[in-house]
Order: sequence, then structure tokens, then C-alpha cells
Amino acid sequence: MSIITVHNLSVHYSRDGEIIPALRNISFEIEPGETLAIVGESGSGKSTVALSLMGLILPYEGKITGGEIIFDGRNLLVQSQEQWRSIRGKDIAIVLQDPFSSLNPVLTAGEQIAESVRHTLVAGNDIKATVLNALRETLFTDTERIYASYPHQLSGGQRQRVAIAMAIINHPRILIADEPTTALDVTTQKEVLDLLVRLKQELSLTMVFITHNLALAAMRADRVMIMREGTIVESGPTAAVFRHPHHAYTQALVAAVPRLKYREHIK
Amino acid sequence: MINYFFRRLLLTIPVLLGITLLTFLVMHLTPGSPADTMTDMNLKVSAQAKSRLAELYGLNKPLHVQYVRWLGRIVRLDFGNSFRDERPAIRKIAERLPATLLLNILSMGLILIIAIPLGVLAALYQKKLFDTVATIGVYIGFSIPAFWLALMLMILFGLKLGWLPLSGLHSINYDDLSLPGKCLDLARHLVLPVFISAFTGLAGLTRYTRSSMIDVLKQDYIRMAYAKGLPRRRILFHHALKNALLPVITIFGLSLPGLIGGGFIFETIFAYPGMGRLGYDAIMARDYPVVMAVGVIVAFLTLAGNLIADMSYAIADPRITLK
Amino acid sequence: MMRFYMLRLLKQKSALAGLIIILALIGGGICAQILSPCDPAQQHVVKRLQSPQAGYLMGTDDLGRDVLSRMLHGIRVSLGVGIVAVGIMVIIGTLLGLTAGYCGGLIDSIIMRFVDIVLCFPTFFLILIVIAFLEPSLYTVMGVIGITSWPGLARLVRAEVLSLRERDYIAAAKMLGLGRARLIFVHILPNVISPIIVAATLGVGDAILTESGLSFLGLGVQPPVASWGQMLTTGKEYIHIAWWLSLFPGCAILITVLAFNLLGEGLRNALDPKQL
Repeated sequence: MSIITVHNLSVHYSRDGEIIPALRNISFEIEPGETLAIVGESGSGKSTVALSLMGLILPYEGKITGGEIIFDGRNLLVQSQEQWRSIRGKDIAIVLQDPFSSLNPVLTAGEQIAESVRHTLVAGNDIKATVLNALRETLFTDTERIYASYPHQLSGGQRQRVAIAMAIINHPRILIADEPTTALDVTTQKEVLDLLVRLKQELSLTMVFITHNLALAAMRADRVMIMREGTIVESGPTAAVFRHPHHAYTQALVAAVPRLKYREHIK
Repeated sequence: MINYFFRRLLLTIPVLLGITLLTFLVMHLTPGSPADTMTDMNLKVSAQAKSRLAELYGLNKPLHVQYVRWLGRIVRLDFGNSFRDERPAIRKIAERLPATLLLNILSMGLILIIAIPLGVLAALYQKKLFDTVATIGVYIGFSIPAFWLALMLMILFGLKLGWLPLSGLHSINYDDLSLPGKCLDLARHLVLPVFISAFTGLAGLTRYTRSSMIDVLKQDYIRMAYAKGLPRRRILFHHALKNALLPVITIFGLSLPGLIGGGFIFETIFAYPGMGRLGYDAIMARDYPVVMAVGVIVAFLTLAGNLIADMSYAIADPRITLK
Repeated sequence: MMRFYMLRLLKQKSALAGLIIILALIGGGICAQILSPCDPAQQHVVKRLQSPQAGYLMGTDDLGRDVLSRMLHGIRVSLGVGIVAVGIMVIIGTLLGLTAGYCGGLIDSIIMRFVDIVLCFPTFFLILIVIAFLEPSLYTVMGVIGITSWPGLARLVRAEVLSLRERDYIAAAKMLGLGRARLIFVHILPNVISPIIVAATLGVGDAILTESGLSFLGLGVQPPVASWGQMLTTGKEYIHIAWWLSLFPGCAILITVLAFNLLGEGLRNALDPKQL
């Protein structure tokens, strides 16, 4: 039984009054506990999938024009804004690509994380303790200092870990990571990836991992889904897709992955 | 923080000096300035004034000596005496300043109260009917000649309808009125000037708030706030508005001279006893000490306003605070 | 490229309206001689203060002059002052802004402190002082408005230049050993032109407003040349008995200034890559 079923989803962006299709009738499922990697180049629609799953395509950008997203037996696309809100951040959470723009510059890290729990905690529970705990889970040692820091006082890796703390504090069932390491430098990338993998196991999350890097996906995902121009080119268990890519585009992608890493994974 | 304020204060010193120098030069290098007026046929500045002028400015000395002497006097707030009634220029300004401050503070307050919500709403309903109407509305305010609007409204509310007094700040019987009566009288006199000053000054702040808000709403951290499941109200006011209003603080500081300067014509029309009318009358009468005093004081006030805006910005924006 | 920006501009209804009004005004100003039913300076004492009627569509003033004809000739004064003053503003503001931004260092500090100082004075006050002590005339008004309104533009141009200077292609051009003048005029100036165009368009509106204020106070264009601001002075005196003397010139100023502001705003949107 899948945790999320996407059926015939279509999304349009509008720009300068012009309609640009971003997703064309795509369907897929996410199994509970798995890590699904969505791979594609920029403009392939992979981030649009992430935003659609959270109902985060803002009205000025575009809109979902058709299809359904079934979560817990309910179609999310016919829900009210209120119902959406009760799912966001609690059942499904997201980490965005650029930690330099995804944190509000005028609020402290602590305030921003605390907001996620303010509405879910029963009165009497100590919000600050919960936040500090979340920061500990994302491998901060000097949690008090981070709590009181503004984003500009943190490094890129620290910001992204704050963003992750913000996402996992409610122990969501699904965590979407939209290119969470692209904006970071190489050493920090590994740190953040390892953290995500560890959190997935500890909190038994279902993870949707969005990336343009097939090698990265190969090492960490149970299944991959290759996207191009708003459609799903190919999907399946990681090893199978790697061994026998059906589609020419996937074949080209696989051929471009450095040998060593690929072999390492297959073993 | 203290350090920042201190540095900022130090930086105003050359500007202060520059203000006095510019005022001095404009007055002395323009044809028909004090030096020339002595040979002028203008009866108001006749032989009698000549000696006073020579004494005040040391007109036979080189220009830089004159400037330093004048500067030495104005540091002690001695701007000399008015040519017209012999009273110290600074006293005349002190009498007029409260009325101008009252008018400007009220209209600034009104501008803030109207412009920020208007700008925010226009941003939220971008390209919808509300946005279009608000945009055209504030642009009409910006484009309308304030003196003409003043004239029209005086005719409408003062003469035709008789609801509001025509001019001045007090009625003739002001001193006989009870305290609430005095307040009401003052308010009735202030309605039109404050409204006109605010309406014609609305555009800048409204448009700025709007575009600032539109920019902020596109930021990733707003999307992140939605992703956290926050209510829309909290996202708009806590996350977006805080960021959007930061640059507005500076813009507000920059709009100060426009506000004070806008008074020069319509204070005259309303016979409003403020600095603008004092300055205008002094210019027309070639009352140099008063003109220079008004120039320097108005520029100082503007500078102080900008300084306050800068410092509020430093306090409001955490990114500046700790540098 | 020009077509692209033109289309983006014309798509905005308010900007289009502004443009049409401005073109109509320019046409009216050029053809004022032909369009005017009467000589704007000709007085008919017997026909003083006639209300609008056939023959005098906008009535006559206190000297029996045809208001419509004077309005049409007033276009020339308003647009003339607006355009010349803005021309002066653009030349001074652009040169000083470019110099400050490109040279940096001490020159930049001096220019920018000067800008700070001038910006502390209400522009209208400075203009009043200078004009009151000079002979008021059409040319004085144009010149004085021009030389007092450039500081804002200089600041804007400098900021643009500073952000450009950091770009790679400017650094590359420098390394190739391009001459300073060539660098400034070929590589930098074209990139700061859009904010200048916007500021200039908005500036025309400002200048017209200022001119009308000065003329209203009797410090602007002198009779017998017809100017809207000056017509309002007459209007003020006869406001109880001749509403048309105040209404038409006032509306004309409002509509003209509004048109320039709407066009300026439209240009800003059309030229800004982030907008729309």
C-alpha cells in the first residue's frame, strides 16, 4: 500500500501571460519507508513535483491543472487551504535547495524552527526544549548559540542543518529534499547527505530525494525516477535502472556516471 | 552598535558644514545677493540696512573670512536680526517651528497609516482591480499641484459648504475657548493642510511598500513559511512585512525634505503660520538673515530625520546590527 | 530588442494611456498656432470673464482673452520647461554619477557628500531663493529647475555603475586594456541607460509641477507668455465668479504630470527584467 499516489498530475506555469507546461500527466507512487530519487536536469519538472506534493505552487507562479494526489486515502488537490495547512510541516515536510534564501533574514534560527511546533504542541510543553532537541538531532553541539543566531551569522552547511531541523521537528512521515546540497561546497555536501540518510533511518521517514546528480541518487535511493520535459522517462528499482536502462535518455545519463562509484554501489 | 551610531554621527559633520557653506554661497554668489543689494534701489534694503549688513557679514572682507565669521555666529544660533522687524531670526523661526512640526508629524503619521496598508494590499492583489485603483489614486495625488488642490478644497469646504475655516491655525476667539474647544478649533484648521500634505506625499511610500512586498513574497523563505503550515496571516505579517518594511524606513527618511519643502506654497495659501510661509515671505522681502536661517534649520531638520531613519534601520535589520 | 521593450510597455494600459496623452499634448503644442481659435494675447475688454460657450469653449479671462487659446499655448511652456530642465538634469546627473561610480575613492566621496548636502534642502526652497534673486523668465526657470534636480539621478547612476563594475565583463574589458573613455561610454553607459530613461520621464512631470508652482507665485514665466501656473494665479483671484479660470489649467497640469508619471512607471516595468 503506497503512502502517496500521484495520478495524471499536470501543472502549468504562467509567465508574461504565457502558459508554460511544467508537468504533463505524470503518475507515480511512493512506498512507505523507501527513498525515492527523482532525477532530471533543470527544467525537467522535478522540483515542480516536490512543490505540488506540498501544495506550494503559489498563485502568481502557476497552478495545478489536473490530476490527483492521494495521501491517506484523501485527494489533497480537492482539500481546503485549512486542510492543506494541517498536513504541511506535520505529515509532509520539505528542505529547499538554497539555505541562503530559504531562511528568513530577520528572524533568528530558533524563532523560525519554533514556529513549526507552536501550533502542534499542547500548552505546557516547552517549545524551546523541543527546538534545542531538534538542533541536537541535526548534529549541532552549541545548540543555544545556534538558537539565538540570525541566518547571516551561520555558514551554508549550518543553515541547511537548521532548515533540516525545521523540517524534521514534527517527525513528519515524508521528507522531501529538493536538491539539498547543490548550493553547498563539496565537503559540506557529504555532511548534509549523511545527516539526511541517518535521520531517515532514525525517524523511519519516507524520503523523496530530488537531484540532478544520478550518481548521488544511485548511492542512496531505493528507487529512481528519471524525468525530462515534464514527463517521467523511466522509473524502477535503482539497481535495475542502472543495469538495464530502457530509454535512450537514461542510457546516456548512466553512461555519464563515473565508473567507480557505480560499481561500488552495485556491489 | 554604539560604534555604528558614533561613526554615523561623525559622518554628518561634513554634511552639516556643507549645508552652511551651500546656504552661504547661494546667498552670496547669486546676483542680487546681500553684497549687491546695497546698491539696489530696493527701498526695503536701504542705507539703514547697509551698515547692519556690513556689520553682520563683514562685507568688505574676503568671502572665506565672511563665511567663517558667519559660521562662528550660527554655532551660537545667532542668525542676525530680521531686516523687517529687527527681531532675531532665530526667534522668528522658534515661533514658527512648532506649527510646521505639528503639520508634518501629523501628515507623516497619516501617510504611514495609509501608505503601508495600501502598498501591502496592492501587492497582494497585484494587477487586480484594487491594485489599479490604488496605483492611479496615489499617482493622482503625486501629480496634482498641491496649491491648486488647496485652493479647490478651500472653496468647497470653506466657502461653499462652510464646514471648515479658510486659513490660519487658530480662530480669532481662540484664547477665549475652553481646552476641548481649543483642540477642536485647532483640529478644524489642520484638517485641510494635513490632508493635502498627506495626499500629495502618499505615492512614494505606497509604491515602494508595494514593490518591496512583491519582491519579498517571491523569496524562498516565504515558501518555506508556507511549507511549515503557518497561517497566511502570520506569513504575511510576521515573515513578509518585517522584511518588506526595512527598506521603507530609509525611503521614509528620504521623503522628509519633500514634505517640509512642499509647505512652501500651500502654507502660503492657507496663511498657515509655519516655516514654509516664513521662508517664502523672507525670500520675497529679501530678508537675508531669515532666509539663511530658514535654509540652515530646514536642512538640519532633514539631516536629523535621515539620521533617525538610518539608525532605526540599523536597529531593525539584524544583518547590520552586529557588523 | 527595442520591439520587445515597446511591446512590454504598450501592454500596460496605464502606460499606454500616458503615452497617448503625451503624444496628444506634443501635437497640440506644435499646432497651437493653428488650433487656437484666437490670439492668446489678444484682449477684448468687453468680453471679460465670459463663461464657457460657443466661440469661447473654455470661457475668457479677466482681460477678455480666450482661455482655450491660452491653454494650448501653455502646453509649449510646460513641455518646454519639462524637457529642457530634464535635459540639464540628465547631463549633470549622469556625468557626476558616472564619474563618482567609476573613479571611486576621494572623487566619489566628494561628489556623494555634495549630493547628500543638496538633498538636505527642499528643492523648491533652493529654486525659490535663486529665482527670486534672478530675473524671472522662461529660461531662468528651465535652468534653475535643471541644476537643482540632478542629485537624485547622480546617486542612482552611481549605484548602477558600482554594481556593474563588479561584473566580469567589465573586469575583462579592463584587462584587455580598453581606454577609460571607451570603457565608460561603450560598456558602462548603455547598461545604466534604463534607470536614466525612467528617472528622466518622471523628472519631466516633476519639472512641470515645479514650473506651475513658480508661475503661480509670479516667479515663473512672465506675461504675456501664457503658462498654466500663471493662469491659476488669475483663477485664484476670480475663483468666486469664474470657476473655469481655475478648473481648466489645474486639470491640465494634473493630467500632464500624471501622464508622465504613468509612462515613467510603465517604462520602469518594461525595462526591469524582474518585473511582469
